[in-house]
Amino acid sequence: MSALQKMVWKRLMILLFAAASFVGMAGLSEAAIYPDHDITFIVPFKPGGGLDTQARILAPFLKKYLPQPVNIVVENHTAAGGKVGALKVFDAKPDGYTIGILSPNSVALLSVMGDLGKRNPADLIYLCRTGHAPYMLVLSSRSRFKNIQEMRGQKVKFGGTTSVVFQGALIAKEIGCEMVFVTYDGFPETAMATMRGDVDVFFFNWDSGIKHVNASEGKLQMITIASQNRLPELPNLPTAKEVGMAIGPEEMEVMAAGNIVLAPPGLPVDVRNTLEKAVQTAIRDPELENRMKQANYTMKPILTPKETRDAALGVHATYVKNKSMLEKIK
Amino acid sequence: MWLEGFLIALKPINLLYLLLGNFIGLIIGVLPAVGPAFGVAIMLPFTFGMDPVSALIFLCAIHATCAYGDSITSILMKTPGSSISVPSCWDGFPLTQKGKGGMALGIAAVGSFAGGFVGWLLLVAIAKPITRFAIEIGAPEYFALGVMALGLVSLASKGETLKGILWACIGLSISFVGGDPVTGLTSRFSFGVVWLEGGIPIVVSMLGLFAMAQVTNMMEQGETLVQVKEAKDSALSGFWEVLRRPLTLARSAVVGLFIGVLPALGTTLASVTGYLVEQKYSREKAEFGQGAPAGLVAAEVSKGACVVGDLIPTFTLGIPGSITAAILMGALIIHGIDPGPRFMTNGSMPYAVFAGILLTQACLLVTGISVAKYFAKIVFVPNALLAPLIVTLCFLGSYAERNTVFDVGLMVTFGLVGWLSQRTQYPVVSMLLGILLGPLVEVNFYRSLRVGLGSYTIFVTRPITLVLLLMTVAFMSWPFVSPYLRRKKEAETPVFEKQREGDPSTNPLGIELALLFLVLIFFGLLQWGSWQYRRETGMFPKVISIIGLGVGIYHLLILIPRIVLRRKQKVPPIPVNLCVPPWLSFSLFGLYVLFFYFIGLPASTVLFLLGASWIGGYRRLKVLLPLTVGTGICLYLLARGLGIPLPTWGLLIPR
Repeated sequence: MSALQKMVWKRLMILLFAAASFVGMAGLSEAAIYPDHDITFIVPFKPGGGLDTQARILAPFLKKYLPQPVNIVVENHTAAGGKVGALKVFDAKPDGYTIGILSPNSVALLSVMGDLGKRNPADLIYLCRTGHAPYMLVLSSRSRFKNIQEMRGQKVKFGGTTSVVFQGALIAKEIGCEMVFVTYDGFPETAMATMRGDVDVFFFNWDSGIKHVNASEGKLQMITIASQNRLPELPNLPTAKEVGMAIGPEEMEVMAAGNIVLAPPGLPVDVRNTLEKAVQTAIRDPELENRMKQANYTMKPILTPKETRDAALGVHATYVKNKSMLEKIK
Repeated sequence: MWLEGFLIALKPINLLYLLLGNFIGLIIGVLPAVGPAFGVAIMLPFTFGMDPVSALIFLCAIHATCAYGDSITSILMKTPGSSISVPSCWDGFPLTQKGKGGMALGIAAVGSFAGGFVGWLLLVAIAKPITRFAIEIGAPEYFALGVMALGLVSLASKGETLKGILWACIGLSISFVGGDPVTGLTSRFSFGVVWLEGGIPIVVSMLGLFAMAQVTNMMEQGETLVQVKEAKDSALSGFWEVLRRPLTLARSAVVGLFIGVLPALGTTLASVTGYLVEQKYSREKAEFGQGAPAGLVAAEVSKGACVVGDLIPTFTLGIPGSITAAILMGALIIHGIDPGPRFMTNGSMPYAVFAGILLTQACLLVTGISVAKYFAKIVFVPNALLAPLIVTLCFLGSYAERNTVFDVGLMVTFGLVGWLSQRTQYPVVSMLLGILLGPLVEVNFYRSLRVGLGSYTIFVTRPITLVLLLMTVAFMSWPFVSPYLRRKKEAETPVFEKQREGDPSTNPLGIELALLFLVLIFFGLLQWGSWQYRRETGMFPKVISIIGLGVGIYHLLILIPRIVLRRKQKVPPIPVNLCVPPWLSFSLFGLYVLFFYFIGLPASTVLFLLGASWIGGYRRLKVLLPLTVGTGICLYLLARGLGIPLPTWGLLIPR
């Protein structure tokens, strides 16, 4: 090796060393700032469903508002009707790199059915609520009933998915009828069954379901909506109170569709603040609201993390209070 | 409207996405063990930034090409990528073995196109009246259809009827695992395992029963899949093979469309029923199962028709006909288009989508024919190299469904069941249909009862239900009645009997008896277990286990005299060239599962591929090392790049 070669070699080594130490230092300094790598976003249902759609719409906006634009990777953990996904969120390492989207109703149902073990929904970190729409009751034109009064004391067939059996029982209690619950795989299937006259009534969140009523050529008739006041979008639809159903405010909260974005219990405060800020800014982005609207989801009213928590735990309390009703259906 | 639709679909950007979708679909489809549902689900997030029409054309292209590509491995290697192309194995693989793989692929491409084209015509022409009809099909009708399909299975397995019924019962029993059929609030037969609470995914059982069983055969046989040195046929001859069978074409298209249009029945049922119907009415029925082109044509046309027919309920009712269609529907919603009755009111968009679907079909035909020649060469790759690669893909496919190693272990178990069934000539397809039809029959039975407010009269008061049930009765009793009517016994071709393959290396009766005893114990346990549940949840398991016990004991009584006979004849065992004995194969699979769990997929794959190929007799390190390490790196990149949550390092580096 000539002297020149030696020198070049030596300089190269020094350069390399310097570069390596620089990269190392950069890595060290960056490790202190959250987030520095991809965040996993757990969806407990299949791609294409409501939860999945909302998660995938939200993900790019969350990336936009985090201090570092890391990727939000949506993971679908589908098994046991959402239980596996929920447990994943509960049991994830609380470092801010795992968040999830769940429906407060399904968390409450899992909890009441004893599927969560010792995990307490109150321990979760509630970040925001995405989408909120009260249920609307719809009657089949082929049903033998024409209104709520005729149903009193009768056997009435309710259609719906497994996840809304509890709400069905609550509604039946308020109407004062005996519920025969017929389960269907999804929401469009239930709408078809009602049009066919196989079931008498069904209920759904009005925002994503109203199109079925409009397209049914009169085969589906809206009866009432589970909200305190008439909706500005549907001024002609009477509230539950107006048609003689005394639904209390806690029960009203159960009869609505809306999902919550969560983080596992025990999240460090600084990480929590960063996440909360990003999520809360994201859901106020008009572009996000537009995209949600395109997919038929209403975002308003937007809740703070604390309000989200209160709403979700309120739902949970209603389930606990009416546990005996669930036992009877089961 | 139509002109506008075609103009939009023919825009360069949309054509680009069409070709891209075709290309990706073909690659994903060709990989055994990953089917259309996987392909569409993976590609869904990439469409978020696209314009809705482009996104739909892209996804529909993947959907259709995947469904075609799936057949390629079924035909060439008998390893279906998803359950929809299982029937393509039955006559496609024998054709390959005769050296006509290229022609078989040609038939598949033309058949898929023909079915798809007819489906497309229906989609655009009479979607509305069909929608009206489909709305009237309720729970009692679905129940009747399910019973009818089950009847068809037991009929089709004539010659081995007892085995067919037994295996269908086992399939039904497997379908009982999961949520209870009435409210779904509680689970049954889950044994405290959370992964069983929602039931076993079809992908897992299907990959095990078909692909893993075939891989074990390949490992055992060694050498290459096809002994014929050079393929002498061309893919273009597939054209003629399809076109000269207009009756087959018409029958299969009708079957495929009918099943496609009814939501919730699914594509697998279409291809299987299409094949069985053709097997019953075709003039070539004697050749079925031994490489009859008509069988392959029927399976492919029904599948192609159903793949497009599926889109009718998806677009017009908003009810997906299959898992893949469900994901497509999700894509529609994300792009702000409502699938459902108002779909057609979205201006020129629906016409552009329909035009795109037609272009996809045409594109599929061209690519399918032109690449067939190259794909057909894969059968000359040594089995020792090919089989382990397929195993890796099966592992990937079964893992990706729910992201759990539990499913991978389950799949290997199903592989053992599938392999045992092959050795003892039990029809695996009966089991698959049992698994598929179980929920359809049971859930709709209880649903009907509730719709009828608890009265059983609902099954006879609804005209469509009554007709379907009467047809089933007529179907079932026909074999017993027809001899009296026609006074001549027509030899029915037993479809499934002909699927025997691989030379039985050991005395099959020994295994068969042992298996039968296991089956009897299984049904006994099922009977005992089903008493723990309340009446509605336990009723179907009780009935099925009693049928299983009865048929099993009857079968045993028939077998015993045969053993005595066999002892007297003393048949010498057929010598087979055992390359990797099955017990060793399954031990390797088991180890692979363990390593998968502990050190993650890429690393365990490298080890498995090296080990299995080495044991299989392929020892050229110059090829092996780059191949295995390359596969490992590919898997790693796949996990990182596509965001598939693969266990990259297992427990080595916890996430």
